Amino acid sequence: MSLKLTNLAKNFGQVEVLRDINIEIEKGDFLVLLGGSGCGKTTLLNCVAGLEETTAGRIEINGRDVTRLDPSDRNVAMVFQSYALYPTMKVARNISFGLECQGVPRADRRRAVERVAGLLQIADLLDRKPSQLSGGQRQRVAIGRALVRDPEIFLLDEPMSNLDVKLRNQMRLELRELHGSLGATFVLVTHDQIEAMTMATKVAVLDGGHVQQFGTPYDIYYTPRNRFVAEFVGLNKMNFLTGRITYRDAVPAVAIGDHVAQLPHYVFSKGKPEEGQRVLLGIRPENIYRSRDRLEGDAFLQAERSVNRKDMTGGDLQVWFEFEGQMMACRVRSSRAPDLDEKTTFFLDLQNASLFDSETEMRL
Amino acid sequence: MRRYTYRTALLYGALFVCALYFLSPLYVMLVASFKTLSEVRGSSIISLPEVWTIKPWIKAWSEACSGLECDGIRPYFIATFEIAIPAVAFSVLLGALNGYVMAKWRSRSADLIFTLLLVGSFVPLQLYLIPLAITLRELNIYGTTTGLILIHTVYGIPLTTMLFRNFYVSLPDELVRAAIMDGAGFFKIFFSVILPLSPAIAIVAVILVFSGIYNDFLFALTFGETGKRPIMAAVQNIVASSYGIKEYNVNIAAVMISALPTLLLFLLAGRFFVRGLTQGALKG
Repeated sequence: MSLKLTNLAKNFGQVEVLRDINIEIEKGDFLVLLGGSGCGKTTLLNCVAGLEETTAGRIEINGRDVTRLDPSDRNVAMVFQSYALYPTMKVARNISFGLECQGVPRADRRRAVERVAGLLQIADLLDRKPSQLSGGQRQRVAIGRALVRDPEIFLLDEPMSNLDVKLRNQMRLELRELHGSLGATFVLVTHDQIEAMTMATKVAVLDGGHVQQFGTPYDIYYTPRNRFVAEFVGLNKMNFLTGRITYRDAVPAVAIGDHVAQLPHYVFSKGKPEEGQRVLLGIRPENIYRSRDRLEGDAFLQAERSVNRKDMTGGDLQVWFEFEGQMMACRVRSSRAPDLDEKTTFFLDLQNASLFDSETEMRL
Repeated sequence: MRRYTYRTALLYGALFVCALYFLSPLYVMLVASFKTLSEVRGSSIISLPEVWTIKPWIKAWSEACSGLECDGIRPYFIATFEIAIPAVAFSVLLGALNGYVMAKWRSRSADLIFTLLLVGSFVPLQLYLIPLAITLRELNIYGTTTGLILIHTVYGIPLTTMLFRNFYVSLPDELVRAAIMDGAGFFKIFFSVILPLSPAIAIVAVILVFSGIYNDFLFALTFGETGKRPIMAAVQNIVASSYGIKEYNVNIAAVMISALPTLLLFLLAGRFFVRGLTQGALKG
């Protein structure tokens, strides 16, 4: 166990920002705190860093209770969203400032700076001031500043939000490689789900100061624990159909208007629901096809509908059609998109569909 | 094109008249200070000296009488710097520290204290005279240089605090947080991270506080040490001296000398002054 948060809570005055946070990750894990703005993800990171005091709960790092320790005594390092490089110091001193504060001798500091500079390929920048660096270079220096202290946990607060898309993809790759080669624990805050999916070994989806789901990227994509996670994760928003649970020869199914969606392989998380229970059936746009061959299993719905709307996004395109009073999105290759109003047969693959209680919106 | 030149001429003409209006007294003083006393009395005030002399300047500097002492304004000049330099140093440094605390270590009382400081700095000086006299007496530093240093330091702090606080507020909080993560303490952050960012605003503070202290007349006259009064009080004494004849040329030279330091300060540091006033947060 590298980082363990137990019943963590944080209030700002009367406002509850975080509550009942329980997260546990192993050494070498890459935890991503994913959520929209104002969900408390940065506050949570600051609590782990020690920059914010917690109102209740425990924070343990490698089995050591650090809840009341100063940030510098927690053996964690942080990369800030704005990088927060010291403007008046040269890159070399920016990197070694933490060591300077710890009283590390000058010669050792220089060696440490050289090691980090070599690792991040910034050796030729050491004599520059931060204002003379590009965004990507500043990012590297900020990572170097964290790296030099050899911490148990790296905390990264939206480190890539200020970079352009191309540079962001490159930094993502480098960060992943760095994580792999260091074997240290990383905690990254982001609102970008692609970032979460590509980098994380574990994802905590936050909303309203609460962990909505904690699991691997596969867990949160394929088995979202509630409607919020289902909608938040995934490039295109999940489609929801309202229906009632019904059983056909003991096989669970959802009756949606005239259609019956059979779910023979669905794994219920808390026992089988009752006959007639109102549910939401969630199907991702990428699981709706226009050819039977692409179906992953024998559970599907079929409907011939005309295309109502098209949203171009590049290589892919979303086409919208109406199904049982609900607008449904379907992802297709943009080179093979149907025309507007064209009659098309859609196959709704139920293999990876999700079921939610329509009242509690929790996964069934 | 013709209209354009006409308007330009008008504009520059107006500016020239304004400049003349503001500069002519300076000119009159300047020429008078280089004239002999009889010429000052006899000639037109705008005519150049027939005989150039620097005697009035020398006399003003080292021989003019203030009361019974006849050492010129030199001792008062020095006394002023003895007060101004420590007072400026203390109030700027303490103001920077105050501003740093109020901007970056916010507590619930920070805003209240800031408001009180602001209110304090807008109270007319005269209201402070009697309480200050009592305080200085109780501290046993009434009528001393130390007393004036204390008064000017305290009186400068609200202004410097406001300047530094408003500048530090514009610095990103993450800078301080990064330093905390690096293990830097309160003073280490102040001296290594925050203060090195402050030269421009510090120059603004120095100029404002220094000219405030230098031009102070009220406190100088009330609490100044006899024989070591600050310059403004001393100049007043020399000019208003009732002994003998009025030596206008010497008086004018004394006034010119006393005006030089603040003038030089603005000329030398004016560029930084504007930069400090207009600078906002760091870019990038």
